[in-house]
Amino acid sequence: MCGKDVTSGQEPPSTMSFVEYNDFIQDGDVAIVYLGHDSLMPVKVQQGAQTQTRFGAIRHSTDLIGQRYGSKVTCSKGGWVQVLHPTPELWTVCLPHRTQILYTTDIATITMMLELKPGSVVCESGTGSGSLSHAILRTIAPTGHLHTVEFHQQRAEKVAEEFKEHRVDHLVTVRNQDVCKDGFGVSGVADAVFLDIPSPWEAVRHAKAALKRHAPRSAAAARASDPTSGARPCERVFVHQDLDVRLADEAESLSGVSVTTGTCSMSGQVRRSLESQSRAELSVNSQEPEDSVQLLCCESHSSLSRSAGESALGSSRPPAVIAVEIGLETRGRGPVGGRLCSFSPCIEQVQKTCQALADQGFEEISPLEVLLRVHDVRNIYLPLPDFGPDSGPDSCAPTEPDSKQQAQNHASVTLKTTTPPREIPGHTGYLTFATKPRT
Amino acid sequence: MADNGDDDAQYRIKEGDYVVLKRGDIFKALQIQPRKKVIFEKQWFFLDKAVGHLYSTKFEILSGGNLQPKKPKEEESPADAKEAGTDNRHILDDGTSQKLTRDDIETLKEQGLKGQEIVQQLIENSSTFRDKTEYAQEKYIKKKKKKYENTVTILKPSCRSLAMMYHGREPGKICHLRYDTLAQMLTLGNIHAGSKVLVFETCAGLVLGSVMERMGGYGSVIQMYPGGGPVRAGVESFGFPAHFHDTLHDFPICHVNALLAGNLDTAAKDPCADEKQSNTVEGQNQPEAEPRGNPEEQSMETNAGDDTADQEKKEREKLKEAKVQGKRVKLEEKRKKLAAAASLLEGRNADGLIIASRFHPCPVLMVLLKFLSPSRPFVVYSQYKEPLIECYTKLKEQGGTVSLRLADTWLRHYQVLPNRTHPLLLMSGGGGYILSGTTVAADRAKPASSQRADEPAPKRLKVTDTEG
Repeated sequence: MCGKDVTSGQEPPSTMSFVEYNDFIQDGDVAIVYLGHDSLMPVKVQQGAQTQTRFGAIRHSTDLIGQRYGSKVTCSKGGWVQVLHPTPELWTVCLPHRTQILYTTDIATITMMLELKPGSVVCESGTGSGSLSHAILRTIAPTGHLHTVEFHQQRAEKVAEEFKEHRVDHLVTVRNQDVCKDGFGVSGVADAVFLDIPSPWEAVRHAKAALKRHAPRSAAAARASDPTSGARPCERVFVHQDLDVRLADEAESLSGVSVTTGTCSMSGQVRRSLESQSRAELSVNSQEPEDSVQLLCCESHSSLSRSAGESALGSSRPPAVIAVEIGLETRGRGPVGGRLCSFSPCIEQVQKTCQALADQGFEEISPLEVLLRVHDVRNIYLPLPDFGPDSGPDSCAPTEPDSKQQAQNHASVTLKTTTPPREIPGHTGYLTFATKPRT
Repeated sequence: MADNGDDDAQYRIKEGDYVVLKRGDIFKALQIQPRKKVIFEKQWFFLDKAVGHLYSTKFEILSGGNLQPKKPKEEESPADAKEAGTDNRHILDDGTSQKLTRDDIETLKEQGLKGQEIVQQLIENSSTFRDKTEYAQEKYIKKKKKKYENTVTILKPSCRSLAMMYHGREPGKICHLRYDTLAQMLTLGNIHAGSKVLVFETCAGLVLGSVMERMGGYGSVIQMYPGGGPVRAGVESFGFPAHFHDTLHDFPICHVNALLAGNLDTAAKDPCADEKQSNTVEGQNQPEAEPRGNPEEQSMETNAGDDTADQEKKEREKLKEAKVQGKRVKLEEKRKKLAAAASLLEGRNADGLIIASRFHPCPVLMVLLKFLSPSRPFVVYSQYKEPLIECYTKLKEQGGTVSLRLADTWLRHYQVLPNRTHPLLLMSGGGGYILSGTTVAADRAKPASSQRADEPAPKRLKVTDTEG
């Protein structure tokens, strides 16, 4: 991680990822080919492969592998391109669109206003094409985690695949479920929640459940007074991470199965994964059923799932394991509430969302709009009109064709200035931010 | 980080913590010090009673300036007035609708009435309240509540709250950098944990602190500073844990030329720091030294005094020696730090560059770009557009960069209420400009041969003589 701190010159060979720079292009990397202004394409680097561009073919083995990121590559037709290290921002402008995507201007605002930083735990829905997801992952690495929920099965599978290719899969859990019905699959753990769905107001209560929560006063007090009682009403369940996506089918067939303790109200997806997992260890030692059972994705997973992720890189497909902790209370891990953002193109959606947020006790509800204004730098020529000869009263003589010629040729001013593009995106969506207060 | 589940100490307010006070959208950053009177929004109070409570707690200011956590139930709106008018045709603005005078209100305050109760009093004594529409009543209550509210929320500092605070209170100190513009810079600069980032700023440390927050204590940040020493009061306000500061290095911009030329001698006394150092040394010694001129010289000659005086002198000498020794150690440390920063820069393999200053950005950018690896982003902020046009032009001529873009952002906040949704009446007129781009390997083969110019060749307008 900090390998570059010391300028030793001899660095251990590392690999490119969307959360860590590397200097040289290697087999298996995803590189971004810069063809010209606003014209970029992602390339999966593979020994022996070729990529066609409008400047000719790029041969991966000779033109890419071993080259430095940022270097110029001459294509077969003699034209050249630059090969760039991937970043979430470059990915945003060249990723394959499966949905409408969020662009960098909104993403930057979201990242700051959600107060994301390394270590943040974030819930997101829908995943869509993963434009925002990559930016979130970059910011919360190396110790944070993203729980992203996408109700479209193929999209969920595809984006999970991309996370793997971009070597960020250890930081993210993709769930294929409907956030409005089933929530985020985690509870009481998130520092921030992001919603980009058609009816965000239906997901607000799930967002609230996902955000960090303080242990109920009574429970916290009880624990404090009697630390030896040890009967922390929670248990651990291990679930295959890659089940999250695959389970979508199984889950359907398994629907309607009742689970474990009668008072449990678990998120559908996890319940199903528990049911279908013969290996799942479930031992309920709950004493008294409180309001509802909290499922929390054990956030000490930063070490746990990271190591799982690392091992996943090594061999073919070892089951990445995450720990799911079920307890009757969330341990006093996050007494601070958290931030929420909802993105909606229509003001009617915003109105309903704001109402739902206020009803759920969110504060600082602040809808805003942010737009990028590009200024194209240009040289401009401003001709000066000919006012005719300007001299004393004696030179009223008619203009000679000679001087007229001169005026045409030379009477102009050159300026360096900027012009706005003829058309710009005038609306992307409203960003509604809110804070879930400490409760 | 977020991992220590059971340890909620990190969420509790401690003495010495840097915190942000918040009321409405007003922020103030400060450090919690015992029995320190704090003035915020025309009210004074002490933060002592907040210690031990959880961050994000809303406190009520009691008489005597003590804080008490506010119970969430007290939030309910005061008026359950069902009566409301339909429009404002009967409302006259003659200044007589409120029967309470300023003095009355002051008396109520002195009696220890809470903000809520004062607002209730105001409503009861307003002759027009009942005639106002439901919406106008709500607005009235909101306005009065804001005026007489006596609560304050204590937050953990963050890039968001500090950027909004500086923008709202002291925009001049941060070159009028608006918070959303700062957000663009951090994202376009791909600031993330584990990278090596150069920062040149004169924004009170806000930009530097924001970069450090995004790096989370992983990797390294090198502050390139102009003048005598790095300015970073804003970094303090973030209240970073100690290990974050281990990742922060600084390097005086006045040594950059020497570093680039390869003749920076970190062992020798450096000219600009040295000058300053010697100045301060002299300055500090002056009061003692004044009557006797050079103290060292003097000490050699004044041995012949009487014993007590001698003793005193010896003591004084010792002290001085210790001081000098201390200075030497500090100088040595400084030199070591400089050498460390220099070695970080020497590889010319930094991963990012952020510039946001009151200096002309062009020369700064041209010099600092040399320290970046190829295929790395850079972002330059300026309050004005023209200097960035110059940067753009120069970079186009020089090559070595792609994806150049000059832009600014437009930001508008909204009021969203049932049947009353509209943009806020005021918006920021501008938040500064940003030039961003990506470095590429220097082109040795064909210098300045632009195969594809981003900018279409300027067309010279033909001045056609339409008027015969």
